[in-house]
Amino acid sequence: MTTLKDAISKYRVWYCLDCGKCASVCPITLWETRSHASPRLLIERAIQGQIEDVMDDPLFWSCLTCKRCTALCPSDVHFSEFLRDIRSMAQQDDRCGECTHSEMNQTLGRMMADPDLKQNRLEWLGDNLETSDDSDTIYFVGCMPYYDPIFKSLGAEGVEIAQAAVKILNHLGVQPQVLADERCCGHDQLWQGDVDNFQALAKLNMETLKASGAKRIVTTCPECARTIKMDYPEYLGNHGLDVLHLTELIAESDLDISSTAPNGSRVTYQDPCRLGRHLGAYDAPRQAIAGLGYELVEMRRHAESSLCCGTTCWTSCGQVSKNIQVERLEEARATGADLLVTACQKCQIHFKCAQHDPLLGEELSIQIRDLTTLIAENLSEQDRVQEVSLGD
Amino acid sequence: MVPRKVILLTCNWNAYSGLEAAGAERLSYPAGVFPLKVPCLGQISSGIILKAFENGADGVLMLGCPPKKCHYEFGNRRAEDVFVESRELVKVLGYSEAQFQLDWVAAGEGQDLVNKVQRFVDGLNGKRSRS
Amino acid sequence: MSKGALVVGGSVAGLQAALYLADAGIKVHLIESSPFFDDGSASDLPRHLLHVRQLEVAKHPNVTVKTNTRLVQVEGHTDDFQVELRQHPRYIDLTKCTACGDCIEACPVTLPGTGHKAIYLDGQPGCVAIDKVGKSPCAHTCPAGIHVQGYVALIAQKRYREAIDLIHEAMPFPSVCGRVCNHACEANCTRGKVDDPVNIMVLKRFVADWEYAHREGEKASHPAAEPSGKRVAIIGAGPAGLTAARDLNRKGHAVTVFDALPVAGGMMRVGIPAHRLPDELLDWEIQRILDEGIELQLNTRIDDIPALLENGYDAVLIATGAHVAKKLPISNADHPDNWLSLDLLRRACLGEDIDLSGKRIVVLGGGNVALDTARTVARLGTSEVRMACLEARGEMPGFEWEIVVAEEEGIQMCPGRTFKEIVLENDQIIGVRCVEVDFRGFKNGRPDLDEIPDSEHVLPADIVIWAIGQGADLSFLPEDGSVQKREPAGIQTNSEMMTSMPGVFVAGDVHRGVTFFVVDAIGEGHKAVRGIDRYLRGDLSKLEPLSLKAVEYNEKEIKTKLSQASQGERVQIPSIPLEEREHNFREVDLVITEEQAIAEAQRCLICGPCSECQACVEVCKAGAIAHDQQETSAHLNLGAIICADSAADLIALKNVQGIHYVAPEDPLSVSAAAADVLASIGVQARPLPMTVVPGSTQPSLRIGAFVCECGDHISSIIDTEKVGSKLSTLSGVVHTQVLPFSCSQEAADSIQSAVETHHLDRVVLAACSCCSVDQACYSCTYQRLRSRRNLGVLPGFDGHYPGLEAVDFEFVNIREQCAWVHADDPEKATAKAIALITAAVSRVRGESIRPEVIEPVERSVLILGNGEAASVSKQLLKEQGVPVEHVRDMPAQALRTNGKYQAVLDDKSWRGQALILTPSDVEETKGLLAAFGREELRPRVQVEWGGVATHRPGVYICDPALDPELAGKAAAARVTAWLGRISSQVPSAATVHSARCRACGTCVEICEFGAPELTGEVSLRTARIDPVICTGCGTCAAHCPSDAISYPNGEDAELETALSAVLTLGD
Repeated sequence: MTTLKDAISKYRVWYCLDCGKCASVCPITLWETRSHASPRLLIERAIQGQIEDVMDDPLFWSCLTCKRCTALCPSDVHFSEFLRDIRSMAQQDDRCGECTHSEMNQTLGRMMADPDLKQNRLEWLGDNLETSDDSDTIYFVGCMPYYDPIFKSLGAEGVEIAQAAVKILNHLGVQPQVLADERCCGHDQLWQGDVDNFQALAKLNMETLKASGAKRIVTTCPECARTIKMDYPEYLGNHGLDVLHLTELIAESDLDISSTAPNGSRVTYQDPCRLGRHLGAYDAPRQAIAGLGYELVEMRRHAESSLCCGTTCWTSCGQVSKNIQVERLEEARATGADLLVTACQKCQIHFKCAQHDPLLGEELSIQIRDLTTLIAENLSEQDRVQEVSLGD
Repeated sequence: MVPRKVILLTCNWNAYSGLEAAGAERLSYPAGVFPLKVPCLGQISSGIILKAFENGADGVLMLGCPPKKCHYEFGNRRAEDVFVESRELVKVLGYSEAQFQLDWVAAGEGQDLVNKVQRFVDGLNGKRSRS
Repeated sequence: MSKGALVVGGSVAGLQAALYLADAGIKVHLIESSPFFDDGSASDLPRHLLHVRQLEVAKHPNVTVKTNTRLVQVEGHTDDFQVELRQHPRYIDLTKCTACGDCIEACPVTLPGTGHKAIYLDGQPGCVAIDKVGKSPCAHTCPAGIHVQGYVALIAQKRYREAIDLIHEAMPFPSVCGRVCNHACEANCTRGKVDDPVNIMVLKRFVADWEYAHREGEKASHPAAEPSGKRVAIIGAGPAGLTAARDLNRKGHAVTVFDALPVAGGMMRVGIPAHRLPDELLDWEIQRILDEGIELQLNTRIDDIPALLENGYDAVLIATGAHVAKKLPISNADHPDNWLSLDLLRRACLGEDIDLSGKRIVVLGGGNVALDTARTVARLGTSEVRMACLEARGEMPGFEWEIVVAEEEGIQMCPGRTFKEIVLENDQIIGVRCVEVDFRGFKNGRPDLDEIPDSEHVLPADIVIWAIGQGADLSFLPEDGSVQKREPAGIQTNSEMMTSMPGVFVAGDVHRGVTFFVVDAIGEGHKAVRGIDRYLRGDLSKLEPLSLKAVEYNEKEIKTKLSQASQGERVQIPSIPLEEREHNFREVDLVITEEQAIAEAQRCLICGPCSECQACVEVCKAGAIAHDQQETSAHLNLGAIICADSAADLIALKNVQGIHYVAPEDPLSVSAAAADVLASIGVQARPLPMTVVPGSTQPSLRIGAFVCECGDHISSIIDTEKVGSKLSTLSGVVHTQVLPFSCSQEAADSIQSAVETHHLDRVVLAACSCCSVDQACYSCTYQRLRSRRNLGVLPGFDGHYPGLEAVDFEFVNIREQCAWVHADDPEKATAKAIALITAAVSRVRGESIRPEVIEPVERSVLILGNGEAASVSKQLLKEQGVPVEHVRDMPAQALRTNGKYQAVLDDKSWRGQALILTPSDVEETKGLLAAFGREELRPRVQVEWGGVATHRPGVYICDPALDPELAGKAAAARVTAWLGRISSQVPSAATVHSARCRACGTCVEICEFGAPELTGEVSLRTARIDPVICTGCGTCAAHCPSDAISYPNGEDAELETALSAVLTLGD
């Protein structure tokens, strides 16, 4: 169990220069009107050692852990991770962030942490999709089967993304394993400080992953990728598995995409925080977009300086989040692109939710697609690779 | 055997009046059925449904007002939306359709309520909270 | 305060009228001539909606409901009426009855006409009522005050134990009065007026004998009363004395009974021969009285009454009877063979062996004593017995039936004679010289007669027995006359049976110095005890006469009753054959069979109709039965009268001007009438008294858990003690208590005091109530509302406890949801009850009492449309001082915004709290509705309520198809009522947490009442929910993606705690 002190030293919080660069880019600081919320202030409180004050800080639960501040921080203070760890103290104290969607997603997470749960999560697999029980590659689906019914009404893509992913993998000659007993990766639990459930989920997943005998894990969810790649080892020790976001795999492979993109059609790309600043994958998705024959027009803030989609862990998505999303959508429209592409289904959900607005509707309208499905519908059948074995 | 735990969510109006009538008429239904009353089924969110199962319910039966008879005009229609959504989730979680249903009972129809509750419980035929 | 209004008739329309006026702030008196509101079968209003209306009326602080109430007189006109109301008792305490139905089950009387019992439940107000027009003539006549119809009804049901117990309450000697009573009850029996009366006496004997046959084991024990420390001496162990002894003893006074005779029973024992009353029965009944703890001193003649008072007796009762038989002063009447009837009867009754064989006997007298004497003599060996008397055969004072029997037994009747002398020969009586007379009765004490010439003759006799009347021996009274005698005979008393000597009372034959019947003596005994008891307790209050009159039916009514009753003939008393009666004192009359008894009992015409059998009193654990309730009347000065009663005896209303008549089922016209009344009463409607609840926001640590037994309707299945002790272990619960009846005032009192003593700020009550909201829903009951009202949960009532407002209540129904549905499995029922209550406890534990801030709302109305109804509504509303704006232009938009309804056209807009649409034709209707935007928001007419109200709160529409006058008025009435209600509404409205709101408009899309709207500038935009419009259904909250909406009733957090409590318990 970490103490405030441990966390402070572990994440270089001591080194804060109080320069305030963080506050200048923190989207919460910008939009939180009720009180002054800024990483710098929270750190100040933390260093004073008053854990209570820290927990009461307006940023304590609302921070998106998007790492935008860290990217700019001259002293490389790992603010997001710092907050993540001290949130676990708050959880011990029976505190938690403001849940959304009647706590559905948190509940789903807890339920999946129950070893006895026998899910029925593979109904989306159609006959045209080839999977196997002994492939070296696992496609780690993530929570799509759950998000699908919840966010269908928003017009958000759900299991289509998973289907597209398998289709793409098949195209690359991979008949991936898809796990019937996969659990939520635990990302949200971890970042909300619910370490117990995170570990329960991680343990269950690791057991299944190990048992599968696979060597490589591909995800379409940046959060799953980040969590399995970086956090599982930290909490459960090294698993030696190769973890990739699908776009990274595509970048490595010479996937031939016969572009059907109308000439001169422009898209812009939303860097998911987990894929970008957390995993450092900025180019892979951009290559894929280029491969599709679209003209990529970047938003004012992109790549390292990209703006978060405004919500994380299914908590605090009130006025502040909405404003961030509105701001980002306007930014996207400002590029003149016809299409906003993201590589994270949560970004898509959050933006589509923001577009659901009776008064702003028009001003926010821009088509939003997940990169995976976009690619999948542009695969050319003939160039399909028949046999692929991983470099042994 | 552990007593089967079924959560019976009723609205405060038609369905609850059916529940009350069942009592007044001394009809009986399995004692493992626990009624919880809310003003309107419309206020039931998927989150609550999930919590019921998370807490170990073997089944959840939602009973509201008959079509077009909702005391709040539209609550029972909205309850259907929520039902459809949470039914999907519950299904992915591995529960059978029999374990989660939505139905209605008209005011004072005690026997009808008992029949519907009994049918629901029978439908579970031995299914536990973790099927 | 303005004058109130009277609504006549608990019909659908009557209820509506009452509600409209009451909501508008007017005090309403609603009277219904029957004990229950109209069942609405004639109206197309669905049952459950009517039910809700009935309860709303019952709980409305501005409505006084009077059932069983008639208008007897009305004076005045238009807006000033003086009315007199008369309320017939319900005989039920409306603050106690739980409608459990035990009494209905116990009631032996089923009314042939309606098929319901004499105590019944037939809708709202949901408490039973007793159908009692008056006392049945039989019961009213009985000097002993037996509930005659009651035991007859019980016998008809084979409930003999209850029947005999009921008799015993008033009558210590059923065996005696089942045999030798003069049964005046039968003389007044209603059936007797068109048919033979019910043979009541034999029915009494039937159950008396039944009890005697079942005397082993079954010991009729009477609870010992609290000793008063007073002692009473009773002189005379006859029917009067023993009855008084028993009554006094049961009132806690120590009683000693003295009697000069060697046996107890007085005339019953030494005056009534065994062939009519077997000794062992009487002795058994006497013994039972003594066994209750009464001291008896036989062979003790009292000559010094003052001495008794000096020697520690606080009161004395003289009940010495009339044991002195008279003679006429004719010659030779003093010859030793002149016997006295009472002497002979006494000797015979005491078993002396008297042999009269070969003797000729003449008994002088024609009354019942003479008959007893003659029939006794006839059993002592003689074959020649005559009875001679002044009266003609038809006029003889003895019972005709017994004269006949006497004749059968060989006794020769010699009526219509006067006695001149006892004829002697050799100093032996040889006869009685008589002259036949034409006797016309007694004139001031003297016989009025003419002797018939040449009719002198001698009736041969060896012994003459005088039975011409008895008197009382008063020689034991003090010489100084301190106990004044009465003229012509007996002892002087006041109305409470006390003599001129304080503390000395009189009862029985000695009172008037003549012989009456046993039952009269018993009646006197009761009466004397009332006086003695009041004297001993120093109670000088005026003795209230029992007001309940005997019912009287006209011939037509009786004929109907007869046609509905058993057609059987009156049962005849069976007796043993003549030959078996010779030379013995075997009882002559036999008891009827059970079948005969039941058949006879079924001949009763049920006059009460309630038989006052007290069976309901016995079973009612709540003590709600009040057989002694009195008719009451009230005089009111009122501003208006609405009559919504089609039938009703409205003679009182004849030729009274300004009364509003409406069809009982017509909600439209009744609304119109209500509007007129509101206008005529002409005051600005006042809202209900406002309650502002302070409310703490800290989660409670001081919870009180109360469990109701509901008599035994809960506790007979659910182990309430176990539940209580389990609850006391729950965290936060500092007090648990089991209540016999949580809907009683007593329960509210003890909850209130528990709240004070234990500083409770949360109360969980497990009973049949199931919500703490100020509303009546489809399944609510009178009792649940009563319990909530007692606890001050319903606003606007007096007797609202201080302190309780700050308490948060949670109710759990463990009756309908546990006890009654799992009666087959008490253990599971108990476990489930514990689970449900635990859930409620955890619910209140987390819950924070939200302050209820009632914002007074501006009362204004906006009228849209060109229909004629507009001006009608406008006029009426103006008269009530409600600001009205009428817009004829077709608005482009009609919406609820910023707390008002607003009509917009181009740059113009008009606003009002409420909205009335008055289109002139179908086209305009379409246009106006279209202005509300999407389909779901367009006002939908609610037909049940007369087609004026719509589903949008505060929006009313006068359909051009309706009569504009009616519709306009109706709309005005409803608007006023609505404005009156909302201005004092306890908020159940949802609220938006603005920081959590995404202004996504989901709530706006969902709510078809139009309560939510989006307000504010872009980056600060948030949803706002109009508390006046919001019904608190919570649907918007369930769909809000960011969980920004909360509402008072059953939020997710509460539900969740309840869920986990229920599900994690009892595994």
